[in-house]
Amino acid sequence: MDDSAIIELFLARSEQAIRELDGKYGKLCHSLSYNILHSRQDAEECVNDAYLGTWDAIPPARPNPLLAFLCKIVRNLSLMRYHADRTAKRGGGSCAVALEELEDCLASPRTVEGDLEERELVRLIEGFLDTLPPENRVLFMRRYWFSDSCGEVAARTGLSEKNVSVRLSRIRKQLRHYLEERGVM
Amino acid sequence: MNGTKLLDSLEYISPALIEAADEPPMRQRVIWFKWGGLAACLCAITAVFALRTPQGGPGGLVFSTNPSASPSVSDGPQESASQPVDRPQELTSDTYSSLEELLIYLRFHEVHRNDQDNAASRPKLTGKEGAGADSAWQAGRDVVSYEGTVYQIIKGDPLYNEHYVAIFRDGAETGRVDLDTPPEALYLTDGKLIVVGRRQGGMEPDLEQKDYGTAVMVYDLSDPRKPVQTDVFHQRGGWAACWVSSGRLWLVTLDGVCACGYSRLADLDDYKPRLAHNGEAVPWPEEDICILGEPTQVKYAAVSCIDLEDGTVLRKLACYGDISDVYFGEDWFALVTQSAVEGGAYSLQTVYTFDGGMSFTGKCDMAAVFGLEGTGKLAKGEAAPPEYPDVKAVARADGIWRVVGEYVQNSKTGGTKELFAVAYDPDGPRPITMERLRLPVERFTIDDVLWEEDRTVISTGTGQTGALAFAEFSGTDISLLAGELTCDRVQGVDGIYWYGSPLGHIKPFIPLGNGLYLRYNGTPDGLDLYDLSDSASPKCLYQSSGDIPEGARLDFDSRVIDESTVAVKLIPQARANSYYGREEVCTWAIVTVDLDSEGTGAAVRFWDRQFPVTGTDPTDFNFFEPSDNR
Repeated sequence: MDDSAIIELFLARSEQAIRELDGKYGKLCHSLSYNILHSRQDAEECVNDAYLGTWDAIPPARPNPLLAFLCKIVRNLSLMRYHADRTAKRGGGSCAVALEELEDCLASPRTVEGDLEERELVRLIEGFLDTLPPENRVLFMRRYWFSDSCGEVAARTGLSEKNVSVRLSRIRKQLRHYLEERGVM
Repeated sequence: MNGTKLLDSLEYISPALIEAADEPPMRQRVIWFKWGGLAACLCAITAVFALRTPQGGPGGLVFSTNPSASPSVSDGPQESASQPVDRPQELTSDTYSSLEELLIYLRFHEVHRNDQDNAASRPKLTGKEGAGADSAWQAGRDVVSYEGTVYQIIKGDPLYNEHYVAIFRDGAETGRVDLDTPPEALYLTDGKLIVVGRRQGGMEPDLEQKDYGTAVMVYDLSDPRKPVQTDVFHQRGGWAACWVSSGRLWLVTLDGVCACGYSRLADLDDYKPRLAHNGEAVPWPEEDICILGEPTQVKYAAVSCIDLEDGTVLRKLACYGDISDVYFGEDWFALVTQSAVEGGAYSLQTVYTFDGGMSFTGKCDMAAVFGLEGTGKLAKGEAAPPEYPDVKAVARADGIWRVVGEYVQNSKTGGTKELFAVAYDPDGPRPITMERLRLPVERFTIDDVLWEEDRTVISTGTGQTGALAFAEFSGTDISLLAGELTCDRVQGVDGIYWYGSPLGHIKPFIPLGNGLYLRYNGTPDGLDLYDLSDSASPKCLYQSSGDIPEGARLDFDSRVIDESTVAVKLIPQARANSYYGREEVCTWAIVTVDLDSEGTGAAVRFWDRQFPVTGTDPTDFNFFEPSDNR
């Protein structure tokens, strides 16, 4: 079923909308949430909460693309849960590793100190991603947005895990350089 | 700045990048071709082997009957056994651990409002909206003018942290009112400018933030060019409703455990109402607290009434209960509890009513009205009762409370709904009257309710089709009518989806008076004109033929200038779906209505010229001189 038909089901307040949503994007959502939380139970709950959020949002929203809309909710809920969990334990999920990698990218917290707002940062990152070849852009997004592990990225792209790791390392260096040039660091 | 912030900031990244990253990669296709032939051969050999050998027989393939031994495709990612994760239970008292559980919940309570996001929870259509009346006292505005000076919230990118109200004279910005809270709505009364904003950390409400709440800032406009702050009020909780009436400001905030069970704070003692005036705490004694019913959650609505002349807090009341919706009028308010399935029990809605003195005037128990069990226990796996009323709007007129909603009758095949209206006179000999009406469509949703003096216009919809129904009230007598007129369904017009948009979605109806209403029509984009003076035969006098200027869409604001002139806000089509947007991209346009001599038809015309939105209050438009079209 295409996205517009699913949205129509939401607008008609049909429960089938959630089933169709789950059927079409459930696996991706679970994977996204699981990569962050590393807990199948938590991922299941986050995904279901995201379905509920979608149910609440449509109507009036008519998200286009639906996939990005849903994934953003899943990701946000998962990150919220992740941060809550982290107060009780140090997580071992790929999200934590992804975080540590990006910490290296922004090594000097003193230089920014919150002066740059998130939104501006996003614009910079989008500008940076524009400079990358499409394949590297996908690598970055899969690793840092979908929180895929290097192995999963490798399996998806057909590259070797080592190659993915090296490429990501270079991308991070480029990002750091890019942000430094623009006075973020 | 750290990795967490960077990772979090990716939330706002372009959806196009997300979609692109989820597309099947080209390289994978190469791999498929490489191994596809071999896989196909293997499949063929397996198929031949399977066909020749009876399954389960001697030498046959034996599959495990233990489901756990063979993960299914739909199982999703498997949890790592080496890294057990204990989730803090106190944060998730009521999440949906399975899809079925969620569906059972939704089946019982179709529209679940997530009160955790109080920033997004706005009251439904509230109070009476007289024909042609300016309802700014109810919802506030983002632009108001006083003695030639225009005050406007500029909806820039909130991440720039520009918290101010801009001051304009003759279309030019002459100053700003700097704020430490993002402004959400402006009210104007008796030479006072009132700015209401939400006090929270960032894009999402930080529920653990100590000063999380709603701020009301009062400015004296003795010199309109230089507003002077006289009072600041801060009330804990998310903004649920705010209105200004007779020089008094009413503020309702909701706080406590949300419907999804997330607690704001671990210590329940912190779930107490707090109000501060100019930084000093205003005592909130026990006598200003009441408990509605038997709450299942620690949740309350705090209501304050403030005299804007001298900043005195006249009255306040905190009502604890499973409150989900707030309705209000100039001198009354009503709190509606939620239908809920909680921990093996269910409960139906109750409407609690209060007068302007914040005295409790009575309750309308919806279960009693419909002869249902109001609360009950549920065995494990048992679904909640399939029939329940769902209140959609409450108002009061002449001391009689009016309630409109949907009566839901669920079944395995989907079920039906009926429209219902209730009149509740707490002091009358026959306190409650109820009428139900089955509409031509089995499943519908009430999209909007417009209160008139003795009548309620109910906008319903299913799919893309909208329809009108009417509830006529005379004392406690009710007459429900389903209009045969169908129209394009409108649930609100998409404007700039901006965080904390002060006015939210526009109401489908723009009342012109004398039973005439403009109503938004999405296909094609424009305004239809309806004559609803006779409930039995509502008429469409004009149907839009795509009147909105090319490349533009209607935004969420409108202003009735007189009975035949309306100002509507337009936004460029290209920006209509933008989550963020500068206000400068919008314009005000003028719509004029010309009825024909027999009153059976009309022309609706958009003015050629448009007015810039920044620094312009539509009530000040000069209709006789050409706009400078800045």
